[in-house]
Amino acid sequence: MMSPVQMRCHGESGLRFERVLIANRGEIAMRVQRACRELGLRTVMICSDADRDAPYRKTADDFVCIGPAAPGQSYLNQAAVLLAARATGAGAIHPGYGFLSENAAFAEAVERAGLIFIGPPASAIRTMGDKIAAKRAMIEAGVPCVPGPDAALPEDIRSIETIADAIGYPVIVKAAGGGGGRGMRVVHNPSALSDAVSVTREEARRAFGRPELYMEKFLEHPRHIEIQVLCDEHGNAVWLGHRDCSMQRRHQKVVEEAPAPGIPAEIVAAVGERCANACRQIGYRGAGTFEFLYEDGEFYFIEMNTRLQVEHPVTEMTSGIDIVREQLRVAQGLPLTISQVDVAAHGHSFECRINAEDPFTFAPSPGRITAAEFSGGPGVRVDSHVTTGYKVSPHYDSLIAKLIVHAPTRDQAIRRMRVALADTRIDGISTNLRLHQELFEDPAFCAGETDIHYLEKWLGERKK
Amino acid sequence: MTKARKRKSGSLAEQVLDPATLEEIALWLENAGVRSIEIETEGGRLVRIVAGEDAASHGAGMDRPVLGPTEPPSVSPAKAPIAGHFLSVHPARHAAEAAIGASVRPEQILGFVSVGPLIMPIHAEEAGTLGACTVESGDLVGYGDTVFLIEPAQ
Repeated sequence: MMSPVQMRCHGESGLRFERVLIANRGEIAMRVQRACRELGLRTVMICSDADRDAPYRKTADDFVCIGPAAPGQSYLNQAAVLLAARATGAGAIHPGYGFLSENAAFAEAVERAGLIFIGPPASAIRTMGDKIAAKRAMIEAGVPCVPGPDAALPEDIRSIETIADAIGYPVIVKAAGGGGGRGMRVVHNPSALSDAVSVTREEARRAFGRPELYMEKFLEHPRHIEIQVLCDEHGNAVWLGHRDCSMQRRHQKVVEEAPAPGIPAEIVAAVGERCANACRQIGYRGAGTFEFLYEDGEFYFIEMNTRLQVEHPVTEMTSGIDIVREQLRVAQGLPLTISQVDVAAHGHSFECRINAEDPFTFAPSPGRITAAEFSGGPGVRVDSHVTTGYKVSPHYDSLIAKLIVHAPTRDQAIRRMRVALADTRIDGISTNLRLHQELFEDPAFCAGETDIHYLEKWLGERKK
Repeated sequence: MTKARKRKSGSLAEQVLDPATLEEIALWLENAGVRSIEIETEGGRLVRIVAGEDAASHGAGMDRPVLGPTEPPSVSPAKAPIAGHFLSVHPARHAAEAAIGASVRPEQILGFVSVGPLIMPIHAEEAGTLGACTVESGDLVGYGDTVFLIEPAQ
């Protein structure tokens, strides 16, 4: 591991930045702050009015409120973030995940202000934010994609019908500028195609500001598999293994694990190498994730997340690589500390997202935490910003903690997670702890290889 | 109207007066809820940058920070409108806008917050006596941080 002193020896002029503004909140703000502190970097933590008592204020070099609780007036307010960076002398901005992390215009504004955006170039964010452009780039790089043209659908319905016939039903019609499960429709037969295209086009126009659609083969029972990549600006790119994030409710991940069970290593390696190659081709920089659907032994690219992801710790646990630390080093202009031959997956890791929400209705449960106790011991990691007395705000995402375990085998990791969940106590608000406890007793989940529809189906049967 | 003045010099003034920079500053102001800013050069040239209509409504729509539980209810705070460095005296002047113990009126400027070339005024929200300044000149302050305490007029 490179020490802060060694880092400062980089180049004749020293570091590109010594002070990082962390433009986020909650557990990820704390996670990034810790990585900065380990590297000897000073931290500027911003907050909204609702987060003035955030625990990471005690360990920040500067802690400054930038606006009211509403995200649009604070964490999403580009001007306020940039002004705070100027006022505090920050040399770089780490966006975390969510908020401004995948906003190409913000990345450009940061660079224009003479600061460093700790993330990929704005051009890469923009390319990957356009689903059609992203698919085209992936095809060029040899990354396997879902069958369907890498171009926007024409206006003429007859031409669209021809495309659908060539792909084969069922197909899915998607908005080119969409994401997060919005702006898409499954079409099972030709008679439903025209209406689906019209409705989705209008939805795309309204929700994303652009009406372009594209079409792909709809996979019936896929799993959601991700490949984590890291790249520097010296042409080095590595993939750090794969994750299974199939346990989702309404496109929101609930449990993640690494590695994905039951997928032959040689298949993953071939796809992983193509992902790394794609990064080199598009001039990618920093951390990123390729998301795939996996069905019948085949990978199909769906999108790339050009940022750190919530579930990055399971890859850190199995690879032993601190992804946030690497992000910071890459932003300093340093080469990656690892090459592909150094990367190996050891053991198995799970992450449970502990949310402040009702375990049955999933209604948010803001309020004051009257007692917070987390598990510990070998192979247990908790990424959280909450403690006893913390007030969960209604203004933001309900994630309050990530409970992560690591063990030599998947079965041992399941047993370790059961104990960790049992040892976790959060009083004063409702949480989904009970949901996780039930999931980790479910035979099908414990056997592994469940698809992306499994959790919704399981929840439907649970209600009965 | 929220308004600020700044004296600039030499190349920096030219840089600030560059159309692209002016446009960017105007956008920042608009997003920050500020209506206008004045930039004064050493040659006496005064530039007023006025943000769009949205700025006024944006600013008006901002949540007003709630008084902390430790603040006595008989004291009215004057708060920083933006994150930056507190200035007790405007760089182009020699004296503070209001002295401790002096009477102040609503909307009176009490001090400033500076961020780079921008200077934003801190206003009194109500009439009273300026009781105390809670920070030192040059200190970093955040949006909504209490900078002055005013004992309201009876």
